[in-house]
Amino acid sequence: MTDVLTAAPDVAEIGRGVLVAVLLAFVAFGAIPVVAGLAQFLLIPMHAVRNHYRETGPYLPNVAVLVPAWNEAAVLTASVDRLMALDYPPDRLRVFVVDDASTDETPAVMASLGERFPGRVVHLRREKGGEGKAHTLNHGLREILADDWMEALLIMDADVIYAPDSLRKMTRHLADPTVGAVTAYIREGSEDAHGLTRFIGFDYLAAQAASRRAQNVAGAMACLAGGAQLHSRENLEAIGGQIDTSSLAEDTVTTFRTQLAGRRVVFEPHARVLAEEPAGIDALWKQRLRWARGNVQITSMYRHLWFRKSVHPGLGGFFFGVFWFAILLLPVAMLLTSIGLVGLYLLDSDLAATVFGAAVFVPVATFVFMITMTISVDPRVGLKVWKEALLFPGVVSFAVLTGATFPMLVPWGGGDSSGWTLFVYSWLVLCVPAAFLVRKLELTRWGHRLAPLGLYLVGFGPMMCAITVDAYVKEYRGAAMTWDKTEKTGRVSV
Amino acid sequence: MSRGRTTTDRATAAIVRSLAARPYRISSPVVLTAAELAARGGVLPVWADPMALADETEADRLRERRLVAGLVVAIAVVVLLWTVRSLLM
Repeated sequence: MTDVLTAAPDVAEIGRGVLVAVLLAFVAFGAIPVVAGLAQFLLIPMHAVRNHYRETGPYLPNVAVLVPAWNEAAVLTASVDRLMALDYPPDRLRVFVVDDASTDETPAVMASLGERFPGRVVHLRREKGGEGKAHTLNHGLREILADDWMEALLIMDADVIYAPDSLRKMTRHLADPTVGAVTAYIREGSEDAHGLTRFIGFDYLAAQAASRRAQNVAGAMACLAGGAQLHSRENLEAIGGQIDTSSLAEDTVTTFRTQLAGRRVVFEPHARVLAEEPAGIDALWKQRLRWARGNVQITSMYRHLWFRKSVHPGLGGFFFGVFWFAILLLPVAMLLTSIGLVGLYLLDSDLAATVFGAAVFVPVATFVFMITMTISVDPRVGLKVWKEALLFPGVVSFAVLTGATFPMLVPWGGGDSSGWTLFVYSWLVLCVPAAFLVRKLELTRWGHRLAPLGLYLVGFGPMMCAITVDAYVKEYRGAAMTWDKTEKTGRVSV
Repeated sequence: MSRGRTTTDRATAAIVRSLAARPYRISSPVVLTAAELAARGGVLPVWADPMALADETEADRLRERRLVAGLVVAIAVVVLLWTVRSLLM
């Protein structure tokens, strides 16, 4: 009995040590997405030498453009006019608009376009609509594949506008028989860009122009942009000639199927496509929730693939797996980091400060790389949205990061700073529910005007994390997979 | 745990090898009539000139070099922040 009592302090000490080790492991796990982000941004400059340009050729195939449309009357005329004006051989370009039982003026608009461009613009109408984009695309695919004319198929959205030289910049990659599909650089194209659309503008720069270059270098593409994907006929036939209808991320499934069937997917950064993006937080939330749920579904659908290079050298590779899960599990990582730091602070505040002080420069460096590399991929857009780039994590997070890097700048950080310290350690996770509140704020009559301010305070990045959390919950509950179409008003212009 | 190479994996690898051995895809030559050329003000469109297409690709390839400048700026900013932090602390 005496022995047990004397041994008790040791047991407590061991327990404390184990707890500290677990909390440190939490912080280390939380750092993985940040390190993965840094690695990704370090890959981007390699695109200067490791790209597909030397394997291209002057290839100008017969291209069928497939446009799914549901109540797109406001934007169709401008989109088709732009397509007809593409700097591409006119006799090698046909547009097929699949009207998904629209109830607006779409049929009349299409009749008019058909008269203006006989034989080049085709109106395909589904009498039973509302089943989602993939079903609409499949209707068009069946019609197009039934004819031998098409050599390449461009899938786009009704609202996007292609730069005149973009299509031929995409087709040149298909000259290489190992390439099955090519995607372009989609960027936010609203003329009246404001807070939210500027954030989206930066997000597209980072997620498309920058990240897809890294994926070109790594040899594995996560997703063909839904509004700009060019397939060779051979590739479409190899993947079954149909688009997946079982998930909310049909474009990602198509991308994976193409690569798993042995063909490459290439990103062409100089083929530019403008898209109209949501102008409100709630509309953005619904759009991104669909994407995030799609990614959760893909993760489960391809569970045999992750970290298994034998299945596919690129998609099953270590780096691709880390990049994929770094985004998918970012909210979990943020939660664990917060728990780790707060727990360490309660156990040993000096140790917590040492860990935080040693680790804080990694996110700072990642943040600097993210902004600089992203702006360098498209300086014209980058310089327009540099403020949103700086405030991407939110004003509060930016202040926290600055204060942590330069503690002497924080007037309330000295002396008894336990309140400030605890706030810093817990904001990583508190910003996620705060993002939920910003969305709710926008939906109230009195808070509608305050929501943009809330978005700047909380940040666009945390909002994306909150949407991922929402996606986990919706998928766990098995919520209905509804296709919430983003309202298009024709705001985009070149 | 790796499941090893399966029949499907081997089939995919065979496809990759066969695709890599194939010749490049080519499209039929573009024929531009005198009337079409006149409608374009006598200016030959880029797509009708294989040399212009090759020049365009080379220009895009060279444009990618600006990414190196972005990397240099990023490293410079990180070093600057680190230095300032070290001096102040």
